Amino acid sequence: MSERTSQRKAIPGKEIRHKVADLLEMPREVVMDLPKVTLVGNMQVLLENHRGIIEYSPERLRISVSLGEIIITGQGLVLRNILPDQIVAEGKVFSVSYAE
Amino acid sequence: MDFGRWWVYFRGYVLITVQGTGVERFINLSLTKGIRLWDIFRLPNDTVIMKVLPAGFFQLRDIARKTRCRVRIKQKYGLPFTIHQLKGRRMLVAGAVFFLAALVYLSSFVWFIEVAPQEPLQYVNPIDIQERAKEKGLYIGAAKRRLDVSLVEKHLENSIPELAWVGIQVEGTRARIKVVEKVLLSPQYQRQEPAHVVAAKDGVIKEILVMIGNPLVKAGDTVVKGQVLISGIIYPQDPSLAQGAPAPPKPQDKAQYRRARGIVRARVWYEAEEIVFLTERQEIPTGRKAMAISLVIGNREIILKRAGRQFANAMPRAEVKTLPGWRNLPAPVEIITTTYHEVEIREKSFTAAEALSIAEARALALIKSQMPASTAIVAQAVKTLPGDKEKVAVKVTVEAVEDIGVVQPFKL
Repeated sequence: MSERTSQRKAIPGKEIRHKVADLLEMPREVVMDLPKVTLVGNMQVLLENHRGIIEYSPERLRISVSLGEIIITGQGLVLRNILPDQIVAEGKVFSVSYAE
Repeated sequence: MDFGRWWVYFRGYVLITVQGTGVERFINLSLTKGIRLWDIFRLPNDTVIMKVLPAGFFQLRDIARKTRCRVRIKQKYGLPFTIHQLKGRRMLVAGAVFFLAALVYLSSFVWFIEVAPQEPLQYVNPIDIQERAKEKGLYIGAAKRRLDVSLVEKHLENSIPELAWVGIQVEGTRARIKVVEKVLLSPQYQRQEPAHVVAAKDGVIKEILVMIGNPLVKAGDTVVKGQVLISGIIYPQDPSLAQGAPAPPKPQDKAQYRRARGIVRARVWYEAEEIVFLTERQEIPTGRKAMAISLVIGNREIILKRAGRQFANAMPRAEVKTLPGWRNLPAPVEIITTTYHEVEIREKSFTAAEALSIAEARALALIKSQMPASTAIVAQAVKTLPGDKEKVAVKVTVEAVEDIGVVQPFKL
């Protein structure tokens, strides 16, 4: 985890990566290691490119990502599935927000 | 989930409870070790429940020690655990397997034979049909795979001359023999007892053609219903009669009793009255329809799907689907689908002349529906009856020519 955190803080050549992504028409989240969030109504959150769970309770879910952390608040949140690169959370979702 | 419910059931999984402060770390570590966890939920008493494959569970111990969590198995699910449990109850498994095998084995025989005629049978006894079917291998307890349905069908058709067609359907353990009888000449024509030809209705004779019998009427005569037209009692021709000599009355016993035959065409009259209102309500289907479905269990009706409320006017048409009953017990469950066809109600108004022609056409159609097929219309007259502001009335009279003779046996 600590290695990854250091990597995040100093993304080498961010500008170059951005341009390469545009040039090759590749998805940005892949090239730039960005999280991708898919919301299905207020029932399901699909988060790709995560780096682990920081905090979990049925009301609050904090997930580490390359830009900091994503905070999902809601009610009766369940971690339906966890894979090395994606998390599926279900329940009643109130908000999805970023924090440094 | 990337692998389906069935696969998970097949592999088996355990529901575990994890207690401790570092549950998030526990989850992250499991993730990096490649242990799959799913359906993670934190209970109000701060224990977290999650599901894991049996293989992953043993690896969790190490992680639990590192993160100071307590891991306990709460419940085991899936086929491997079920099999393990059943190993202790071999007779139960044997019983289930035996039951299934018996069911499959017994369902390969014909247990019910049903003769299902299209129309009520007149000449053939259903038991005879079953007896004949037995000869070619269709009997209660016959193995289905040895049964040659088309052979039995052919045999039945050939051996029972009264049958025009035989079709056998095997549905599960039930064989249904569908039969259609030949249409044999109706018994009236088969009998040869003496008979007259009598008038079926009132009329004026137009022409008479005698094949057998003694004509009692001639063209131009007015006859009433039931009057004898051609007599079946034939007196011998007396040669002296032809010479113009006075004929002595012949004794009755010399008469011949035959079945009279002939065609007697007569003019007959039909009448019909019809009233047509100047404004008529018409229900015209718009083509839109909706289907409601309800389930009837015993005396209760459960509506599964409502429909038809969106239409202001609709014609419902219900269709009942029932499961096949067993013996004389009807199935307790049936499904009723009601299709609502939307209709538009229109008021149509006619002028008096239009209404008259409609009334005439309807009256004529009514008359034609009463006529035998061979009738020829000779003349027709239309009379307007007194109507009022709302309706018109007509009386149509039709003169037609038809065969009015019917055969009627007589007692000697």
